[in-house]
Amino acid sequence: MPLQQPQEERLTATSGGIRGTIGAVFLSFGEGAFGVAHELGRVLLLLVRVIAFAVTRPLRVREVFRLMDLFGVRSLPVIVFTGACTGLLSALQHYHVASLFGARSLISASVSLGLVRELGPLLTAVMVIARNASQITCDLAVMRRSSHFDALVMIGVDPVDYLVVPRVWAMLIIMPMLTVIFEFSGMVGGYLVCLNCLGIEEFTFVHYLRSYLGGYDVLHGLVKSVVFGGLVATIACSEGCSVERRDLDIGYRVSRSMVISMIFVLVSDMGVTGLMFKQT
Amino acid sequence: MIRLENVHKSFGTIQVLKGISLSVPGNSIAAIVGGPGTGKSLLLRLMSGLEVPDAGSVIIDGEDLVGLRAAALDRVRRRFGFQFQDPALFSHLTVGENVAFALRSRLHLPESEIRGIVLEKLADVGLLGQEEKFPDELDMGAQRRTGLARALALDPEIVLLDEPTLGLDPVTGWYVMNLIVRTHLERPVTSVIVTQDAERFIDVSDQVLLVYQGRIVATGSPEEIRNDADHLIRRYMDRSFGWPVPARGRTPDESQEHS
Repeated sequence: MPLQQPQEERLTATSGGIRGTIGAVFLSFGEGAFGVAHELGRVLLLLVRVIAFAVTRPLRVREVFRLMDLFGVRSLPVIVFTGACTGLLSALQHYHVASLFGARSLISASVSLGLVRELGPLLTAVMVIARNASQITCDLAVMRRSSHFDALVMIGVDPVDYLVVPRVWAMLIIMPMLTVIFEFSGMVGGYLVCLNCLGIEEFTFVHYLRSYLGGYDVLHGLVKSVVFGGLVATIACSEGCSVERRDLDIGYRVSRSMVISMIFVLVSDMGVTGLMFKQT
Repeated sequence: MIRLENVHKSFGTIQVLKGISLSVPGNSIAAIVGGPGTGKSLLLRLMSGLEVPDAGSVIIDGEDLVGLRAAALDRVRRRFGFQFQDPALFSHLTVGENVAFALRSRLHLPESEIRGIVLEKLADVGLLGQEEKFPDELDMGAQRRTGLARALALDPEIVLLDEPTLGLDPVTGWYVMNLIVRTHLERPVTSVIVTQDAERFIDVSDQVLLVYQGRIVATGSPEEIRNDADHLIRRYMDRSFGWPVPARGRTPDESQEHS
């Protein structure tokens, strides 16, 4: 938990002239740093426990499949729709830029590379955060509040092993699949716009797409999607498991889960891109 | 035997338990009664090691739970069955699977044997034939009885029941009380029942403890509690709060005229 300071003390700190103001600024930086460190520590600790259980305990295959259906199959409509819209809009925007340089024929290459390397994994993660991370946090928070965790402990089952590990596995498996579907939908959207609105021939679209899109680009996107899936699931579970016995805490945790997941996805995106960019 | 010695517990600035000491002998039924928010449920959580006291000891058959490592605590918990106030059933498992869950986790029995035990426990709580239903398809009373069947599935030595009749109709409540007493007649078991429904459980208990504002203000046999003249006990047992229920619309004279 970030440091919670009573309002009166904050006022005292800020009401002492310039020294008080500087103190208050340092204090809020300190609070922020403490909060980030605390959050990182909690997620990392949970991740270590998840890995330990995943390595030492048998996988609950039935439960993982149930969650894959819940997180993956039921997300398909929104993933296909978002992917198609992204591909369509990318094609229109890229067409404008490509026209400036007289490289309209390369539009399929630029759209597909953008989708596969960056937009696909990132926007899939955004949709998954919106749809699934919030659901995971809410489900676990409700279970924690309503004695499910205690019931598990009483019968000798670790709640992390039973509730968190299958969710992380399901997200790790489903994220690359959803990302590929998103990218495919995007390319179909781009293809339809190029052929029907921008006057680009089918042969040109397919030829340049096959020429410029390589296996390494696909791998680049898939590595990101696996990292995002693991991060989002762990953060969502961490927030859900940390809910306290206050009425408004579940909504607060769901909101936090989405914001923190988004920040971690963006930061890890930069990290993975930086690492894999050197090798291209 | 369950013993709590000078147990204190606070959450933030709120002191919930203020030096509670109690003792529940083996093979007996103890009813912990009191109003809402007095810390009754917390006592059960402390007895089962789900909460750690800020100060004091929680002793189960001579073993202090405070400071026990996770593995040792789990060994002690094997002796417990806990029915929570919330049914806490897993919605993706059927009623039968929810009851079997504890058996599969704790005992490595063949599936046919597990099924036999599940059906027996469901019959005990009057839910035979409901084993293939999901919890969402049951009313709250049936969900709570499923929770009770799960708590009793492993034939525990110590049964902790948190408001076992809350939200049940009188007949089902009687059925649940009957089951608890029957369990005692069939095998040695120590039961601790937390309830606001003092009237229902006071006569079947060996010991009654009244909790008020984080302290035990009265303890004794049902007879002693019934005859105690202390105003707090009388107020709780007689449901009298020192002021009359206001008349709704009619004066007593008008009511007599109508009758």
